Amino acid sequence: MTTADLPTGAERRLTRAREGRVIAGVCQGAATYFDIDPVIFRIVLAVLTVFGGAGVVLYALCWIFIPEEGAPESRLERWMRGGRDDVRRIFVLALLAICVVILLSNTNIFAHRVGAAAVAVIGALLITDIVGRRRGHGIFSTRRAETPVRYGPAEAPSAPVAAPTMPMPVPSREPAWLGWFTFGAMLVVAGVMTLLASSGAANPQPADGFAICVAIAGVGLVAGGFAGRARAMIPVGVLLVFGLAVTNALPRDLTWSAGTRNWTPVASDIASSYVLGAGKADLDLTNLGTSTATIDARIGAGRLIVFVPPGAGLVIDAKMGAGRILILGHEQNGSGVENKQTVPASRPHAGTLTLHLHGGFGDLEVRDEAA
Amino acid sequence: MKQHDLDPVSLFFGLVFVFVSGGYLLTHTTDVELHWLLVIPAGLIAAGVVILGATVRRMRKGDQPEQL
Repeated sequence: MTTADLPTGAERRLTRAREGRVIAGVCQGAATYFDIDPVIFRIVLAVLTVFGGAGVVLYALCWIFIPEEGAPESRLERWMRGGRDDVRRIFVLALLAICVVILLSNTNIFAHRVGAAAVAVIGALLITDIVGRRRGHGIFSTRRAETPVRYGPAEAPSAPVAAPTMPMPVPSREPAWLGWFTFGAMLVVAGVMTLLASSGAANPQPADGFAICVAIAGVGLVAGGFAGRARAMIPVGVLLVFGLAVTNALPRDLTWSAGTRNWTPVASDIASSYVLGAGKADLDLTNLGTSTATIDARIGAGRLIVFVPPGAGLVIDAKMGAGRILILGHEQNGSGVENKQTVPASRPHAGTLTLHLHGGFGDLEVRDEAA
Repeated sequence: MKQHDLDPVSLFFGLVFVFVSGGYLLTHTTDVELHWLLVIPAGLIAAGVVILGATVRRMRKGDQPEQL
């Protein structure tokens, strides 16, 4: 049946269809809900299954998440009797955690994109759910019990000594839609930015993503100051500010790489940049005695030592988010450390090396002796 | 939606977050250099003014003073 056939006033919600199903009715149910041909959903799932296997996971999730047509609750809710919104939310958060692990693992570019897309989709679903719930049909929501169930201590302020003769009507807790709306918007932004980064369409830095999410949390909380029920965003925002501070200290355009590196470029083969995410890196430039070059070296966390040829001219621009810089015997400690030095060549025919060195956390050294 | 009391805690944190992210985005998208010694007091003053203004407005409406 299509949405047009629904009797007026019926709750329009996403269910797994009983008729026209192939496996568990997920595609048919989604087709009915969105009024699109089910073949489209099936093709997308098939493609996702062939490339990376995400389709199977997605289908299985829908299977347990979405209630069957005519059933009051989903499989998940039946398993976790109690059927509270909290359960669904914890599940969504666990799912998000899995996506984040996929995103961070970076083993497979396709899995990476699927993970990013999943984060964006979950965010969009949360927003749709909240908007829909306010109109009476959330995607995830089943019909609510007639009597509101209240958890936790009563919200009412401490009663005056003389109890009122009339019992106060207990206000039902309004769902914290604003906080979830804000959270959903953050997920959409995070997913889209990751997709942009992995597709190469744009080059957003992790700190950019954190900054935008902090901005969204801020706007959500300001709105919550007037509309209420957004305080849950405060700890989320504090964590995001912490993430912003950490990622802001990191050099730009880092790669997800870790370990020990030993770079020894020769004059005929100089890369313009040497990058390590975390670990120990030695950049030995002693073979470039007579060359003039500009070299960029970045490390996210760990130790980077640059060996420069003796007597070469040097233009050094070194920065460290937090940690120690030791440039030709001159040591600096702290956060936001910067050191700019120009050393003229002291040998005939010596070249000049321009070094842009940037570390996030750890040690950065420039030595003018061989390793 | 039912009328809510003004929540200064949410408002304060919200404004702090807006200022922090605004500062970052401003320094990274433009050539403006911000000094934290200026940004922090500016943010605190703005947050205080908004909260004071909103509280006074609510009190003028004849509401009870809100509870934190």
